[in-house]
Amino acid sequence: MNWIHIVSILGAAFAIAIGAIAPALAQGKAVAAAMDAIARQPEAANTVSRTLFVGLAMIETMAIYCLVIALLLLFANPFA
Amino acid sequence: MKFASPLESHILFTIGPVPISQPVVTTWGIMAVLTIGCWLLTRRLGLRPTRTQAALELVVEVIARQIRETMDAEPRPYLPLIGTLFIFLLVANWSSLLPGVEPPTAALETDAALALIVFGATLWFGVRALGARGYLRSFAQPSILLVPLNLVELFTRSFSLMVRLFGNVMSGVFMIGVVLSLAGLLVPIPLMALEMLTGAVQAYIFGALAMVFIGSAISEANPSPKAPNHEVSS
Amino acid sequence: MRIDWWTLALQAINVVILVWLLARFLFRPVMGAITARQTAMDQLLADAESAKAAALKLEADLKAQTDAFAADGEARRSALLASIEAERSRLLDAATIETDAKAKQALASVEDAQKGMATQLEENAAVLAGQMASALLRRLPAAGTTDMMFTALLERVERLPVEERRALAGDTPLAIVTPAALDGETQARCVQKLEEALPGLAAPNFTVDPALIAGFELHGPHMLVRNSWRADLDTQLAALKEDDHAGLRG
Repeated sequence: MNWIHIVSILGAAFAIAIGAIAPALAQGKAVAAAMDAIARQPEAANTVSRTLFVGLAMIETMAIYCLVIALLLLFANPFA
Repeated sequence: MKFASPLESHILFTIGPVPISQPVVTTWGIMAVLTIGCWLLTRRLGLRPTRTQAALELVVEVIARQIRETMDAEPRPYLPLIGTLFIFLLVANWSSLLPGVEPPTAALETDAALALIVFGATLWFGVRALGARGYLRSFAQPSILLVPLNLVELFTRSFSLMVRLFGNVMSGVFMIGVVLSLAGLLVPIPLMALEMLTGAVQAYIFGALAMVFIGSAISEANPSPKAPNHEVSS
Repeated sequence: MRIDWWTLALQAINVVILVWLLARFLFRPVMGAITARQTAMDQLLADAESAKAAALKLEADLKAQTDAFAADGEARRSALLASIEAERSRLLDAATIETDAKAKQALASVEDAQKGMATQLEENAAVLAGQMASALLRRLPAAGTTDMMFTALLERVERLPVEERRALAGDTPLAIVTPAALDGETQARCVQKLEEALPGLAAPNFTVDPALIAGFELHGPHMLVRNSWRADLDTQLAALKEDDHAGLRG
């Protein structure tokens, strides 16, 4: 295990860690806004929740990007 | 503990010089199931719909309405592509429920192929709607300075389309594999339920983004959007 | 990591084939079925619309017919009313005319009766006056009137034309009528005077008739010379009747 491995593992962990923070905050804001909207307009709950799911998936894609980067570092590291 | 790389696909066998990998075989299976199923279901369609025909018509109607609302255009030319993308992605993502089957969308090549097809369809429909010259000119909208940005966006959005689908499905499969190898047989069931939801949402997002891309390609000629004829349907 | 280009190409081909297959086996038939049902529904709706239009037209026709019937009935009724009215007024007019005629007739008959009664009364009054006059005259001495009446007779005879005087003279037997018997001297004087007026006079008889009241008359078989109060009264009565008749006619 040379230093490239160590740095790759650390990079993967940090990528997941940092890459999970911002989408988590964003998802929290999105859910809060959706709850607010549903509370204001309960009859629009269906539309709001459908849009919310799509939005959450889009936000989650950011975390998924980070996961892909981490997996690339772990399993397909071009420098290892 | 060593995990198999989720980024590699296994070559099952070769036909002549062509190596046939596992996602291709799975895709063939899905194609066979879909085609035979549709052939059986649509063999006899009548004016008075049976239960299955009503369900089929509901699915097709929903997809057509989505196309009409999103692209603001008559859905007939785009329905086969968009509908096939959605149905294939849904079935492919949910195929992980079968034991021993890895969804073909968990392989980067399949997602790249799908993104490539959406990319080609965007170009094709844009050229068909605006003409080659008109479509090329649409990249200079609203200013000539934005041409490189538009060109880069054309590729990056296809790339993000590919990576989004790949990362979601692959991560789900990888997570389930990790949990399965750590805990046991029944523990990853909640994860699989979450994976079903994710798969459905990703299929919808992929189809919706394809609609948005094609729609923006065909509508850039007329910046004044014509009055959308929203169909009154449930 | 490496991209398996064969897999990528195969998957792209697979997806394109799947697009074609699903378009062939799913979307085209289902859209066809939806379109067919849509057209069938449109057809049905159009049929229903046309049937509704036909029913509406039929209803309108029936309404028009009913209206026509009602108008016809109204016209007939008004015509009947008008004819009844005309008949009634005609009958009324006829009755009025008839009544007027009858009233006029009744009035006329009443007038006639009144006039006849008045005439009768006048005649009665005349007769009564004659009787009263004769009763009054009878109180005068016959001889007093005889000369005067004889003179008047003579004057009347002398005024007659010659032919009539001759015929009167030849009209035998001529009777001299007086209300009271005359004495011989008077008779002779009278005969003499008459013979002067009527040459060739045969000897006349003397007859008494008190109905004459006063006067002197010559009665022949063919001729008559009246000269008496009775004759005057008769003449006046006749004139009275003549007047009445003339008045009635007028």
